Amino acid sequence: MTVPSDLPEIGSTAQRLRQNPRFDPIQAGIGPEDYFVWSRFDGATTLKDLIVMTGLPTPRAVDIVRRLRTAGAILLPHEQPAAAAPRPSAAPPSRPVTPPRTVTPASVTPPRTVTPSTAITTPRGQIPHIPPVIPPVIPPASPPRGAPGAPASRRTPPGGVAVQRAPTLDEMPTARVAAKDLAASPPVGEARATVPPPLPPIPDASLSADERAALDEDVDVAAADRQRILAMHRRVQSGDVAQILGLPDLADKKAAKRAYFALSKEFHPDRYYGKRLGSYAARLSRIFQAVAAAYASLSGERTPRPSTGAGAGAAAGGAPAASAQPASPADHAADLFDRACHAEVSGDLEGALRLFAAALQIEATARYLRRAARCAMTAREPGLAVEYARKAAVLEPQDPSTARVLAAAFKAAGKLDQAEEVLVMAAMIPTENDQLMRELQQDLVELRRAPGR
Amino acid sequence: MASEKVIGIDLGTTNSCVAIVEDGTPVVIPNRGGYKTTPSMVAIAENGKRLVGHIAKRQAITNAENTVFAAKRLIGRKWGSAAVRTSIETMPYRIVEGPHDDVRIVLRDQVFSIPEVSAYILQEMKMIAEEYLGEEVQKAVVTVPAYFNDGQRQATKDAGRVAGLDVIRIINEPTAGALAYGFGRNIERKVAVYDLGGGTFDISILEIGNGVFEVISTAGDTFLGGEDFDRRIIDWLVFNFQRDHKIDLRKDKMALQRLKDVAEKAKCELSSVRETEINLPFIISTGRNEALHLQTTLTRDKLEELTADLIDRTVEICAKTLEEAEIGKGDIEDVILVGGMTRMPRVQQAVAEFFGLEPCKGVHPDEVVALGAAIQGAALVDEKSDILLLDVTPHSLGIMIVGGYFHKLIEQNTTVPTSKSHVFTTVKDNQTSVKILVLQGESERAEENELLGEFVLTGLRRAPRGEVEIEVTFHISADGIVSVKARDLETGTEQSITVTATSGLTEDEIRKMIDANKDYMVEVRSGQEFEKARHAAERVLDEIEQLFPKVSEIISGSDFGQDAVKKARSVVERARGAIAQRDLPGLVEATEALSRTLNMFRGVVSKTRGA
Ligand SMILES: Nc1ncnc2c1ncn2[C@@H]1O[C@H](COP(=O)(O)OP(=O)(O)O)[C@@H](O)[C@H]1O
Ligand SMILES: [Mg+2]
Repeated sequence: MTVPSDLPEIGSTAQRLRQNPRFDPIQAGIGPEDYFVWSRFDGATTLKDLIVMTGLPTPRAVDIVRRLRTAGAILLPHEQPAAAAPRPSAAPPSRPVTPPRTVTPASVTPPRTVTPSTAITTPRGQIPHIPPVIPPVIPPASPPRGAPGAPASRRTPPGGVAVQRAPTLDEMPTARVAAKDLAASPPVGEARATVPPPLPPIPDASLSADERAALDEDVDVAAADRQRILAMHRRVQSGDVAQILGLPDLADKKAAKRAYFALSKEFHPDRYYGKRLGSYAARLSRIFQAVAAAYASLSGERTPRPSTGAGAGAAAGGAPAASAQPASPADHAADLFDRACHAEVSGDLEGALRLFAAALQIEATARYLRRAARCAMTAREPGLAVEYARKAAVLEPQDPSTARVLAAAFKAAGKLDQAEEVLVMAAMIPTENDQLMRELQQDLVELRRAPGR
Repeated sequence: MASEKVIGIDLGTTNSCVAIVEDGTPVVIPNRGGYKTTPSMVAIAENGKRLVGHIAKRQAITNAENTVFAAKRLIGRKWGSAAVRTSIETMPYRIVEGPHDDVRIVLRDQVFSIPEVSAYILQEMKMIAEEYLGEEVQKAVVTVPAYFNDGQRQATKDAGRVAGLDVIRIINEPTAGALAYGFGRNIERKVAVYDLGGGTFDISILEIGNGVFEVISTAGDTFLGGEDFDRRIIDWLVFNFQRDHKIDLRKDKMALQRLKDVAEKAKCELSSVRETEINLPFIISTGRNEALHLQTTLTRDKLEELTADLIDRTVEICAKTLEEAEIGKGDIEDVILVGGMTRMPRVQQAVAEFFGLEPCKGVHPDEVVALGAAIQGAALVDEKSDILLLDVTPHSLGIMIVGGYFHKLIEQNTTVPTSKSHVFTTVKDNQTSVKILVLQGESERAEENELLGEFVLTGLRRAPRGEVEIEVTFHISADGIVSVKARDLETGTEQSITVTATSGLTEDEIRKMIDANKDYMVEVRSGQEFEKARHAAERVLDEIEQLFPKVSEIISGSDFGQDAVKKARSVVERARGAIAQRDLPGLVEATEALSRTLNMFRGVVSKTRGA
């Protein structure tokens, strides 16, 4: 049933009525249902909505409202509570109902008064608002609060009216400001890398047909931006991480991150949100992906490197300078392998393993792998030995000596079943080399006698 | 040309909030009641009138079965999902199954979809903004929890459309919160965002670097929040009243509504004062025509005692999240408090104790998310803006491969825009078409993930299995739109889709689909998945079985030959066992042994033949 648009003695049901704070429901002796309806009056809900909201049948709710009105329990918007003695705490305080927008004319000093709430009571009885809204996460780099540049509205205006105001966008230090701050602060070396590398436009003569067309394309991209996008697009196609990020030193993680952020800010497609981009859309997307990938390849957090790669860095440290490097990768690997063997026989097992790892990084032949596996066993690294021997077995599956190394590695790792299986299998292949066969069978006998069998 | 106005909306489980950047200042827009937040509640009154926000809240208990709250827990969810099950049990309103395995709500014989219900709230927020601005608003950035999947995000966007809003971007709540707090400042650090709202708790770890915000890890409890605190107060009041008057106040809806109102009010007051009066005159009448009053004092200490375990639970979740993300407490350099409940001093204290540092709290933790959304909205449309938010994919994306497994192409937390390709191959001889099922999620089983779409690539060359190569490419644009393309590498034929909405299939339906389509699947060319391992193992097994009779005939004459046959059998059994057990590491190891066996078998056969 619909709520009538007018009620006798009250008028329009579109009005927002409120409780009379001077009304004492205890003295008036109203019942629970009446009290419930009375408790819904909050000054913000129209009478029409309020009646619906009670969940009571409309005629009953209307009756109660009229009863409350007669008892002086509710006030129309323009009415003031009778000048009786103020009632103590029990009744909820009344609240201003004026729409916020109209309270502060544009000319009044605080730039924007969002809520005309008093400092003491907010609608839900929450803590009073205390400016400023947003506390600094770290001490701000740019104008300190209260400094001449700081907006007046951050201070509490007189009269206790709290003004909610977040920092404006132009108060926020921008990326450029941030870069300047960094440059000004030590260490100086770090700061240099934070500035994106200069991107000179592509010389007219070397423009491809594609690029030439893009420069003339009918899109919403400024001429200078076009030049930069095209130049950066070329740069990312090199695939070279240092060049893409414009970093001289790839080991400097912080600088890499800053470069990544700076380039993202310049080339992320969101920079051109809502613009007609034509062929530039794909270019920006490719640039950003290349920049993100280059950064990811450095930060390493997301892409853990396999453990076998660990030796490479160490070996590089021990390796002679670039000029002494042999011509081909295979030669280089052979060289490293020789030095590894040499280290092994001279008792430097740790150094030997590093050099083997480096050699294998370049070229992983079954021969290198077998030798490395044996060395790992001597160095009591059975896990590593198994890893190398397995790889060797993949390369030369039917080779009896590989099988022996693999079995030995399994045995060293305590995997006796697997060791036995490898030997048994290897033994069934006919071979002309009786010596090897005998050794294989000898290994098997020993294995079966081993403790734990 | 002035850039278009974009509002930011925090569409919360309990409350929603709208903000805008005006003349470079982000401000929260109050509704006409002067409130900065609006309850996310929708009700249909007895006369059929739709009530939204505060009005709906104030009658939530007296009209319980026709009042929807916490609809956010249901948005974009499948009928069969756990969240829906729990809601059916705990919600007073009627939840029914929709036509697409989705969820519907029945209010006074009218059926509503969840995006529709959310749309009413968004519409209200839009109206609040329009009234304040005095002009029409069309564009909005809306926030969602970081863990929302594409389906839930899509449904939120749909809600926007129904409300007449163009949702130009969906961003993560913790990201928005962090943006409003730390935004534009030159900081490089890991921060935790602790968000305790009305019905949900979320903890997120973010990496912030000069204008870049990235969610590293997120967890929470979708059934833990301020309402649980309110309930503890109500329980306490009801218990005491029962003890004194032998009357159960819960039986009376009006009394319960008043209890709920007063409990929340008292809770909020106790965030700033040490004790508060709870005064409910005429709460109920006795049978003897006299009315009883409820009057008592609740102290902050009492409230803390009543709710200690709830706060402990949030701390436990924090600990677990850090552990799983392998982040030490010491790595967290800032903790940001979000959500109305974080105004409670005990909550702040617990967070400070756990992280060992004073959290940054805004005066309005329940408004910062909307502010962040508004900031992002302005950053997008304002050319001069110097803010950039790098968002990440909330979940991994990939396709289904043979055996019903999920092959990821784009990992969770990859910064967008991004694209990734991978080459797959056919699984059957003479297979002329492949079906690409696009999935989202983290499970290795296809059916445990969300199906985003599907398409078929036909006209492949007839060839033995594994020979035809199909390249599948995923692309996610900066606004999170996923497109998938499949290309026959021989002919260059292409097929593609842009994922727009979830199909809303059940696990069962997906499983059926897997069966029905198993001949049209693709297979991974490389990877460590069980499926691949099994496939490889089965090929080797086939060949070993074929060679077995011949090999045993050749070698069984000798002792070691018998040994070898026995060993070979046991290797085969081991592999079969690993397949049956779905034991991936076991299978990988067994497959190696299988390959060795096969190689030996081949050796035996070839050498014997050669001899
Ligand atoms: N001053 C306060 N003290 C304690 N709790 C509060 C305070 N203000 C609001 N809350 C509680 O915060 C919760 C709402 O938080 P909010 O962030 O708006 O929710 P959501 O994000 O779930 O929509 C409610 O349970 C409310 O009672
Ligand atoms: Mg929230």
